Amino acid sequence: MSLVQGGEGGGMLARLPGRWRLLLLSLRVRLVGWTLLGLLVLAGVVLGGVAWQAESASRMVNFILVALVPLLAAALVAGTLTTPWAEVERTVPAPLARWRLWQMSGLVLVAAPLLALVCAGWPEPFTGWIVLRNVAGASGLALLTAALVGGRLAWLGPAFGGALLAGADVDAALRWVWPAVTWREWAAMLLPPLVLLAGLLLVTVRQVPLRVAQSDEA
Amino acid sequence: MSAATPTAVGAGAGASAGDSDASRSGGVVMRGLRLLRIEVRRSVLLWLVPLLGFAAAYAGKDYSTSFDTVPTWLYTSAGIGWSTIFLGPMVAGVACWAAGRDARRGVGDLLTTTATSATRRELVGWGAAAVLGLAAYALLGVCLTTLIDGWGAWGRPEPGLLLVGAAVVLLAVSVGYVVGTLLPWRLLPPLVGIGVYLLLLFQEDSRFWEWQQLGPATWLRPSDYSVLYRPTQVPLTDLLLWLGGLSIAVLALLGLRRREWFSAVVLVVGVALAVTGAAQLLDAGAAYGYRAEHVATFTPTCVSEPFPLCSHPAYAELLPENAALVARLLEPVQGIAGVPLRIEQRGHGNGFTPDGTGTLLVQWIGRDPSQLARTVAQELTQASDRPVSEAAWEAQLVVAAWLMQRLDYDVSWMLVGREPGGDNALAQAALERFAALDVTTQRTWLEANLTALRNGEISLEELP
Repeated sequence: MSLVQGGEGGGMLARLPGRWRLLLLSLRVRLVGWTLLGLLVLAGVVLGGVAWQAESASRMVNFILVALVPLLAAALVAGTLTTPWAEVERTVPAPLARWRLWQMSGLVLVAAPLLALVCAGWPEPFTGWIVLRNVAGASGLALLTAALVGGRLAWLGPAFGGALLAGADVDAALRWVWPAVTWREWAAMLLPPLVLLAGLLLVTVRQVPLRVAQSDEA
Repeated sequence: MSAATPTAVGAGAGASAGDSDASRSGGVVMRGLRLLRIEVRRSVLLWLVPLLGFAAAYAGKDYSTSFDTVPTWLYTSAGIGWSTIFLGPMVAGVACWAAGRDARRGVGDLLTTTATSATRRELVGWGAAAVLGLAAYALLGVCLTTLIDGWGAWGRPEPGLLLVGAAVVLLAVSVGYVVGTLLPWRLLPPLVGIGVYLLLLFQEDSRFWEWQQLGPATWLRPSDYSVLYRPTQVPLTDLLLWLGGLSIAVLALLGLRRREWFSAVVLVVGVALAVTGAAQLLDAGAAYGYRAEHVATFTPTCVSEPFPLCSHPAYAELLPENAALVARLLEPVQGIAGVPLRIEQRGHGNGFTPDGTGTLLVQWIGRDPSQLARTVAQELTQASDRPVSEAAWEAQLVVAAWLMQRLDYDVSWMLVGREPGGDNALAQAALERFAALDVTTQRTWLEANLTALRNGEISLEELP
C-alpha cells in the first residue's frame, strides 16, 4: 500500500518518476533519514564530549572515541539494511542490490569522515585518523554480520570482533581496535578497508536475511 | 507465541477443574516452567550462547593473570567472574533485542487477550534470557579455564567469586530485557550494550574512585588475587545485595508501567536491598584496606634436600628445581654465619626471621629458579633494615652478582656504577677481581667480612 502509493508523503513522491519514487520509499522504510540524523546527533554529542573532556585526556574517553563510537556508528549504518517490506520488495522490478551498495557506501562515507572530523580535536595523536579507520572497519564487520543474521543484530559483529581483538596477544594502547590484529601499521590501515569492501560486496550480492532465525517467530 | 499460548491455556483449564490448592499452585509452576522451556528453545540467545561464551572468555584471558606464578583456582575463579565485563554488555544487548520481539512482530495488542498476565509473560521471557545468559557464563568458565590451562590448578573453584560474576550477568540481562521491553527501538541494543559496558568499567576512571567499590570488576580483578593473601576479601553478601537488589528493582519496572501494586512493593524491596548493599560496599573500601595486609596463613609444603625450602602448597611443584639452584648458589658460603639455613615462602616481603634460626622468608618463588636465587643472593649480602652508602651498596651487589655468576647467569645488569651515565666499569672490575681469587681466599674473606658487608661497612674499593 504505502510502499506503492507513497503513504502520507505520497503527494510529492507521486510526481516523481516511478523508479525514483521507489528508491526514495526504499530509503524511507529503511530509516536512512533517521539514521543520518542519528549520525549527526552522535557527532554532536562526540563534539561536545571532546570539547568538554579534552583537558582531562582521560583514557576512558579515549577508549569511547576510538572503540565505542565506531561501534555505534557501524550499528546505525548496518541497521538500515532492515526493512519491514523485504518480501514485498523482492517482487518489485528494481535493482535492489545496486541500491543497497550505494546506500551502504553513502552512509559509511558520511559517518566515517564526520566522526573522524569531530574526534580530531581530541589531544591524543592521530585520533581522527584512528576513528576514520575504525568506523570503516566496524562498518565492514557489521555489514558482514548483517549479511548473515540481518541488520538488527549487525552490531554483534563489531562487538564480537572487539571482544576477540581485546584478547589478542599484543602490547598496544589501542588493543581493542585494528592495530591489535597486526603488528605492522600498513596492515592495520589496510585491513579495515578490506573488511569494509568485503562487507559491502556481501550485502550487495546476497539478500539480507529477513529474520535471524525461524525460531525467533515464537 | 502460537505454540505457547494454547499450551498454557490448556494447562490452566485442567488445573481449575476442582483440584486442590496445592495441585493448582503446582500447575501454575508447571505452566510457568513449560512456558520457560518454550521461550528458551525459541530464543535467539540459544544459538548465540556459544559465540558469547567463547568471545567473552577469549577477551578476558589476557586479563586473567595473577601474582602467583602457578595456576590456582583462586585467580581462575576471579578471571571467570571478571570476564563478565565482556559478557555482560553483549548479553544485555541481545536481551534488549530479544525483548522487543512482540513489538517487532506487531503482536502486542493480540497478546493482551491471553490468559496469562502480560507481566508474567514478560518475566518468563526474561527468565529464558537469564537462563541462556547464565549458560553463556558457564561456557565462558569452561572456555576461559581451558584457554589459561587452569584445569589442573591448585585448590578448588571459589564459589563467591563465581557467584558475583553470575549476579553481574543477571543484572545485565535484566537491564537489557527491561529496556528492550519498554523501548523496543532497533538502535537500542548496541546502546544498551555500550551503556552496560561503561557502567561496569566506570571504576577504571580515577575521577570515580570514591565509588569504585560499587563496581563489581573492582572486586574481581584477577591480578589482585594470590594464594598468599587471604582469599576471603570479597564482601560477597554486600555485592549480591547490591547487584541482586538492582536486578529486582529494574524488573519491577515491567509491572509498574501497568500500575500493578505488587510491582511497587517489589521495587521498594529491590531498592532497599540495593541501597543496603551499596552502603555496606562503600564502607567496605575502608574496612578491607590494602590487600597485602591480609596475608594468608597456610601449612607449608617442604623439601629438605638438597636445601630446606618450604612454600605454599600451590607452589610445591616448583620446590625441587628451586631448592637445587639455591643449594648450588650457597655452596661457597655454606656454614658461614649469616647464611640462610632454611628458606620459607610467606605472603609479604623478604627478610630473615628475628629468632636467629637462619630462616629466610621470601615472597615469590618463580618457575624460573634464578628469581629465587637472585633474591637469596641479595638478602644474603644486604640487610634490608639498614640504610647504607652507595659505595657499600655497590660492594654488596658485587658479591651477590659473584654468587649468581657462578651459576652461569648474566649479572652485568645487577651492578650499579657511580660513573657518569651509570657506567659500572668499577663494579665490573671489582667483580672480575673477586671472581679471580682462589676458592680458599674467597671463603676466608667472606668468613671474616660477610656480616660487615651486610651491614654496609665495606665499600667497593675495600673488596679484595
